[in-house]
Amino acid sequence: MSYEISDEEKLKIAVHFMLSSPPGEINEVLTDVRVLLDNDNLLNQTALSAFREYNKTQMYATELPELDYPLLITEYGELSPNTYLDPRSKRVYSFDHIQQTFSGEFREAESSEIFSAVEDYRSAIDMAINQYVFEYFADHSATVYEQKGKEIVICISAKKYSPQNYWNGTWRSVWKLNIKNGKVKMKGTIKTLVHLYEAGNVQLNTLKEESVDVTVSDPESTGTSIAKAIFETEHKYQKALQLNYLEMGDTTFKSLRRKLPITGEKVNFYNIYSKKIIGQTSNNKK
Amino acid sequence: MTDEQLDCALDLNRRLPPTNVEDNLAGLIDLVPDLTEDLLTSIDQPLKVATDNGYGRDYLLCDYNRDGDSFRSPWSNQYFPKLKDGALPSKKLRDLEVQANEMFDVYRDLYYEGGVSSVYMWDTEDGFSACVLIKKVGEQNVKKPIQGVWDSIHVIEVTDKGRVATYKITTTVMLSMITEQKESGSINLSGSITRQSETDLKFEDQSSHLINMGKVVEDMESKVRNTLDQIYFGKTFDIVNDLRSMNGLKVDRTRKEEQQKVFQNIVNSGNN
Repeated sequence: MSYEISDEEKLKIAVHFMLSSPPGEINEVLTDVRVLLDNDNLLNQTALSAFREYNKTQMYATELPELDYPLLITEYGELSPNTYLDPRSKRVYSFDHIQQTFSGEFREAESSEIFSAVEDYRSAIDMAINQYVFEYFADHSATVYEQKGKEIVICISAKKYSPQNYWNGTWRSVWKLNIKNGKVKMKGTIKTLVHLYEAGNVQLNTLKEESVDVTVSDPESTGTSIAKAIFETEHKYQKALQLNYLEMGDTTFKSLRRKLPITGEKVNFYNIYSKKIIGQTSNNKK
Repeated sequence: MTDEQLDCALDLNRRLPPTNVEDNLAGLIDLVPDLTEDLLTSIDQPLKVATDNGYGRDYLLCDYNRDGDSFRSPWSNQYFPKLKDGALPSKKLRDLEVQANEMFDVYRDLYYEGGVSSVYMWDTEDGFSACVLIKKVGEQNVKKPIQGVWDSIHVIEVTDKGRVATYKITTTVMLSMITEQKESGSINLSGSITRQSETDLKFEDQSSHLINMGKVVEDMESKVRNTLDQIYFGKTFDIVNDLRSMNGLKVDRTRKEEQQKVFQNIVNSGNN
């Protein structure tokens, strides 16, 4: 009989699988994991925290009740395991991690819960970024936070789910801004994840770190320059991705397996068999 | 219960990152140890390469040439590490297996210009089965920074039906493209697709089986290669462009409307 690991170790594996779910598929993964673990008591103890961590990593975005814009679920806005700050309205919203919706409950943020030393800049950046995501992302979701020490964090999260066509994808960028000595130092991390699963499992996973500087002036102009810098950097990155794709498809793929042999014709197996062409192949090449 | 568990394990395997397929399989086995044999048979892994030192040739490892912890070389028909009474194909089937390995070696050279291939056969009630494996690791260096790896796993069930034989082929091709570069950062495009088909072909003697298997594998690989091309280098990137538009959503909308106008004009002029 094979060595069997403890229940706690099995739970760790189950949670790890849940956190590795592609965008839009955590419920399907939970269903699978529930059947494999076969221990609902154990699973229910950690399911909520697994969903919470997943939603934050995904920067899951959904519409706020009675407001016409979405709020992102992120570590930057988390005030408690199920409450999240909306820096724009200065309200704190309750979020149901398993249902992935805002419950409708909210309250005004306490002064201790928000930083507003550079609120005029945060607000201007918020407007400029929202203009950018509205124009370039079909699923336009972005939240701009002020954090301790006047650091500003811009979170952009776009998702597209098409399970009926067996694919899902996200684009997530996080830009951290430090305003100091008349300059804004920006550090960005851009991630894309695409999952295709019609009779197979194909995943694209990309990660890019960026660094850009912008000069500070009045809030509105600064907001515009920042959004412009982000737009240009992300645009350049997407172009670089495209070039890589072309190379992968044209060069790398072809050098793995040709479309046809060099003769330009399909193989004549009868000839190979009857002529017994043995030992004349390049069998020592890798 | 076990059937449902196997279905869930396979569903999970289609969702977890394919680049971690070995860890995923280990995790699944740890979760449900009773399913170990089923999981090892149903979940494809990137092929490992071993060397038959006696013959000076490489061969591929899979569940079909495994007995315990040893693997049988298709060249010498011996197990490494040495195994007493390891499972072997019948003499008649071994002769066919030898010829199949030689034939697919040529096929591999023609299409892959490198790489390693192996064919393993086993007797079944109404015929025999064969697995045809091919692995190609692309060249990677400063000038070619993208690492590509191709694994073909074909399992063919051959059923003798008198003058005709049925060849049922199940194919999985695993393809990965990984690179790390200054302008485009880290890119990992990995995964596999699986296809099946069934063909009836005439057969006179054992040599027909070889030729028929060759055709069946070649046809399947051609189709799968096309699909991989479309999915990997077409569809995945289309989705990235759906997430973030290169030209802006307004431009996209205008272009789409113009395209529809042109299409409508064509339809209208066709109707006149």
